[in-house]
Amino acid sequence: MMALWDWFTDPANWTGSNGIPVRFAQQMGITLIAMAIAMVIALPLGVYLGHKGKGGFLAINVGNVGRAVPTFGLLMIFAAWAPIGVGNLAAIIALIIFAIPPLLTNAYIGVRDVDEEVRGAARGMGFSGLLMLRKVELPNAVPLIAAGIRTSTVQVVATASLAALVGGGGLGVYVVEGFAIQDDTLLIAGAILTAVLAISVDLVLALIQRRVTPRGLTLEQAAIEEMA
Amino acid sequence: MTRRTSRSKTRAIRSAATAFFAVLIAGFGLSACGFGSSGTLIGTTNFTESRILGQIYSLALDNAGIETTVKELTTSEIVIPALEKNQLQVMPNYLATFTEYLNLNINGPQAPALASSSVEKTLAAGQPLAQEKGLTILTPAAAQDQNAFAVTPEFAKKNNLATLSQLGVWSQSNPVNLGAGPDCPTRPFCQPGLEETYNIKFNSFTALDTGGPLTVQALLQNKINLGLVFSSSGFIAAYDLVVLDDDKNLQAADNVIPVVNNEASTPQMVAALNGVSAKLTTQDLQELNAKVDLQRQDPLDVARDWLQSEGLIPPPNS
Repeated sequence: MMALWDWFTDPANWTGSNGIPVRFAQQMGITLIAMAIAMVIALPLGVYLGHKGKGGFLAINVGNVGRAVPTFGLLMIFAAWAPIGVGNLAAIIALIIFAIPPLLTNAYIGVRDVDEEVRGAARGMGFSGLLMLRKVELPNAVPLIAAGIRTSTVQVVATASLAALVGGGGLGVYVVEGFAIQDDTLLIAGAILTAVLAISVDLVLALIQRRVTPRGLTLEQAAIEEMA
Repeated sequence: MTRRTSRSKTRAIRSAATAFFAVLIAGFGLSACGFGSSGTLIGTTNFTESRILGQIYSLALDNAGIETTVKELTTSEIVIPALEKNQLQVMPNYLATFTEYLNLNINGPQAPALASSSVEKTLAAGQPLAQEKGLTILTPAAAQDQNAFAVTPEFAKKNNLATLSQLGVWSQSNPVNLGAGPDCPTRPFCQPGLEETYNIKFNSFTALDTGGPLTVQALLQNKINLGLVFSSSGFIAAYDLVVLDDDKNLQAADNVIPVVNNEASTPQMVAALNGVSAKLTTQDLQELNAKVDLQRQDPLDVARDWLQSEGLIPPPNS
């Protein structure tokens, strides 16, 4: 415990190219890039399929199969493949694939499962097509889509540590290096930093999730709870 | 690094493995009856080169009229104690690594290093320690498995590099991007050794695997320009990598050695094993490793082919 305290309070570990701020920034950088690309791919597709009410088989199964794909295996394949090669890029691509399933599934289900009565009411008011999507389906799907983003991001930020195994950066460097030179302090410090980061990201996203949920849905939920 | 690193790298899991095997061995009641097989037992560790060497020793001893069985165990930490207890009779190992293992085991963890780049001096230091444990180190082969620093053939040619000394000079104006196992920056035979012995200047270090496929890929992709490989690695021949000559003898003499238990040792056994050592070169090891690791051949077939081509066992159909 003392060794850990010493490690965290040693100024040398807070500066330079192997310092905590740099490794932290690398971990966040890898996560943000991977999540941004995964969202651009998965969210429009999931929303579109949900809106059309088609392709559920695709969305659900891509989601399920995707979850079974071993990220570590993909990482090694990408690192060994010359066009990608060792380094952060291999990790980012593997993480994109890792991030897509919860995003896609939640976006699809979120839109598809909008109450048929709500849809009917909107249709009665003359809503259709894009307008229906924008004004009715998306606002109702926000809680599930946000939950998908939150799940996915937390998984990715924690898994981004794998980048260190293929010559990339991030907090995983401490774990890999600590294991290699049998420096348990370094290893545990890396693990703690990764865990703290993942929990913090989860908390921040939980706050955002609450903020972006349309007020109507919160009121509805409150009303249901009151009745119950 | 050499075997030292790959071994010490696994120290964290080693204690678990040791415990596991202790239970396993006790559970099968094998400790009492020498791993449960007849004849001379050859113990190997669990990597390709050790497997091949085990088969080579086995076939050579069979040819000398000694019945053998090869047992693959995990690490030297499992094999050596079994050899001391005569549960195993023969083991392939590496001179400097084995000497240092005995040194630390007998003289304590703080004992100064006895192994050096000199085969004679290392053997002279290691043999008395081995005898203390009831073991004998037979003749070291010319074949070595030690840390080697490789570059791509294009890079070597373009910059006219053949030795680490030359790289040291070249790196003064072109700092090198090194790739190796994550422990390299702290290992005396790796980055610190290159800096002190050869004055090589580094621009960056990329943590990869220890002499494995990732390092080779990073070299071929030009993500690094100097990579750690093992001198006997099959990758060297397969990818035409250029190993820069260790012209100032940074690396210790990790020559392949047969180690035998004194109680089990016979003149025929010693002659057969020394016969193998007399022929085995680092180049041979590279080719043998490549056949198993890259062409997926059986270690037994690879061993038999080599022994036949060296005339150590009779050719087929004779």
